[in-house]
Amino acid sequence: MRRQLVPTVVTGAAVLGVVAFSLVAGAPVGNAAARPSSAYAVSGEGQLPINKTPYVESADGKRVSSSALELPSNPLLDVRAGTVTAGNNSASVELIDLSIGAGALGQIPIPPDLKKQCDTLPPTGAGDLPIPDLALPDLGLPLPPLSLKDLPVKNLPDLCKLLLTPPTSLVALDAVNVWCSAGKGGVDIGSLTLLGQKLSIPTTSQSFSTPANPLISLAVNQQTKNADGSFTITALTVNLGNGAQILKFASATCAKPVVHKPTPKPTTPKPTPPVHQPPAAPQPTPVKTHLPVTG
Amino acid sequence: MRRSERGSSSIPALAVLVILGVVAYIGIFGDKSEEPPPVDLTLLSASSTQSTIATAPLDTEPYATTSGAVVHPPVETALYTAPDGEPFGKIAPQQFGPTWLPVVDQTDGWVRVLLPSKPNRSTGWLREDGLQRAASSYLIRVHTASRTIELFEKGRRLGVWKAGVGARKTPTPAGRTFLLGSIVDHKRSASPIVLPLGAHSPTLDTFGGGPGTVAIHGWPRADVFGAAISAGCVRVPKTALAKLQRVPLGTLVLIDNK
Repeated sequence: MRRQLVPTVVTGAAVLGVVAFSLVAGAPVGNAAARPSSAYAVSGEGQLPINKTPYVESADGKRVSSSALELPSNPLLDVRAGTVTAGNNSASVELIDLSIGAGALGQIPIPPDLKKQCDTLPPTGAGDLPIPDLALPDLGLPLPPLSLKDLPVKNLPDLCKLLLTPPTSLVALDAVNVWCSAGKGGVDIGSLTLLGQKLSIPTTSQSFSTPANPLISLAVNQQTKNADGSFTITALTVNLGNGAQILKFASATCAKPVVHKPTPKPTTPKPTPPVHQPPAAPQPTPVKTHLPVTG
Repeated sequence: MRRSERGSSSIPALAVLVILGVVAYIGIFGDKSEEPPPVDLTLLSASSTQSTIATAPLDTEPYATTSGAVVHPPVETALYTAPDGEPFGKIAPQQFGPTWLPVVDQTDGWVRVLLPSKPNRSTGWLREDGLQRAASSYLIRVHTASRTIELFEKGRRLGVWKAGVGARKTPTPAGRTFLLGSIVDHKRSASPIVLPLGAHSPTLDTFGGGPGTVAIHGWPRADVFGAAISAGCVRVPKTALAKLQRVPLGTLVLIDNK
């Protein structure tokens, strides 16, 4: 009886071992987050849907990068170049020369009555004149019907100026860099104009929004801590026609790293204690040589 | 006969247990008992302004300042992806003059530095042992929208000058980089003093037979200062260049779109 039990017990232990080992081996490695670090340059929702482009994500923590920006043929927006990078708990996007609604405002035929009103604005008190509630002609953009009152202008003189000397685009941006790392991030934005007016963006870390408007409103530097512990920063969100079209530009998401082996947590450089104070770096001695630099 | 059959049926089961035990031992104790393998530097690519090392980890805080710490490798030294990570390249003690690299992060026994190789914003981790350390009290800021360059020492601004920066199609790359060298190039007869940086043109793979290295240098005509006109370099007036020439190698250069 005992002899029969021995192989049974050993076989049972082996089976249990295999099951336990399989469970352990099949468990997720490290503290991989639900979503990987990722980045994209452009996305759109609404009447002109645009899949995130170019889009990269790094599930294993290795750095991936892409500049393959592909926009559908459309009358709404143009971007010259975008580079996206995602890695281990870090991501970044560079975007160059963005314009939205280029030439759209130049196409608006001004109603004759309004043109007459604009040509004969009184020198004082014109700011108190009402903006006529006329339908805004079709801008050739994916927008619901709008009125002239929906344009983001304060008064009639501003409306006249906008229609008589229209800016080249609704929104223009020459360059933007967004980056994130371990739950922090920033946006370095170049010249951003809305209807030809340059917006003053406070810093690389603060969010900024234009007032709500039925035609267009902007949000710069939106930062979100996601429920899974990841962090998303989006350089620019454009809301057209009260949500009829949402465009997002330069968005980076940083997820917790996929850990294969424990690494010490990097720390911010701190001044070395006085006993080990490093010497001042030396003044360089010019070297005679030739290097063709970019001029 | 029946007894011997029963006895032999436990042998595969015992073998499975032994294998599991070995695997578990290696899993639990294997890594700790191994010494880090020696690095064969001859197999690694050298980071320089001429080279591209696509596997280098990128700078995660490209607009942050640092403590001013700079390091010099007195011998050829391996670059790692992370502290105790994989070696992916090496750095030589000399570039144009001595190699001095800015420290952007550090942890016990390791420093993370900016590198002179492509792509822009490349970094690497170095073992701190054997590195020569120093501190630069200077900081150079380049603003491509206002087309200006600022020089700071110990947080105090020593000067601000109009600068010629990259044209729209050949922009000066934003992010942080560093003074890589100080050279006198007599092939550039009009403005021979050149301060190459650790960055490269983002749009030109090569330029004039070189790798598209971005540099700070002078220019014979003043009309370029304050214009977006160059192929990526930062053109500065003579007075600025004289001051910048005295700034230590490895000093941080912060380029932004402001």
